[in-house]
Amino acid sequence: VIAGHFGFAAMVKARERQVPLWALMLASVWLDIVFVPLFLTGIETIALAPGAHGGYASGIIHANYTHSLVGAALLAAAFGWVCAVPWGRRSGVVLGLVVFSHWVLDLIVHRPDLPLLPGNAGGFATLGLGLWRWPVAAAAVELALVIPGAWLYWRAARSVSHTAHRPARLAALTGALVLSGGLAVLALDVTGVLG
Amino acid sequence: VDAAAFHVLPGLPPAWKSDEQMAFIVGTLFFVVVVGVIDTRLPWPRPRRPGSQQ
Repeated sequence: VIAGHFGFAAMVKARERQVPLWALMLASVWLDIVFVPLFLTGIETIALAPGAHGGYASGIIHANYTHSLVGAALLAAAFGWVCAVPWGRRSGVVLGLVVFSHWVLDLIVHRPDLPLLPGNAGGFATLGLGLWRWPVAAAAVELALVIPGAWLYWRAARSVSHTAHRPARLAALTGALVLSGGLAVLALDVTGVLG
Repeated sequence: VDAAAFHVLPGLPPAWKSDEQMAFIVGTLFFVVVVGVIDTRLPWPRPRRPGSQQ
């Protein structure tokens, strides 16, 4: 759901204009970034869902630390706290919430593999609404984040350029990059180039 | 987490086993850097630093 997370980050940028876009994009995939070293060391794993053949929407993800509800909240709080030091409390809160939005979006698409507590302590029921069982619908949700996100970003960028009496070309270029990059990430993901 | 970007293979780090997957991850990071750099050139309001009077 990488493209969808980026689309959401672009939406937030349109409203919280003081926060750098790169920081919002980083925040939107922060749980996955922390996941990578844990995955490479075998602490967190991915398995194929029954009946799946690999590629988009095919995984059951045992990210029991980074993608547990409490773990995600802690990672979000830490990210927001660090960002609040240079950029102020509001930007820190925004970035922390964007980090946590990753878990919410993953909750929609994941099969039930998101634990409540880190390490799945307590063995509570795992969470996930399972939209990935219908890959076309999951991809549509991602599109519904990427396209409006890019449009809202471009509109905000054009507005600040106009206010500052600067040409709107750079705003158009960045908006086009956000859109085309998001669509490219989604296309590579969905078409199975990766897997 | 996106399973397609972290394809399951036994043994060595899976993401490092496939050129396509590595290219995807590196390309995604490159995309964030490029868009982020261009975005910083736009006249966005600056973050309000703690203790500033802005």
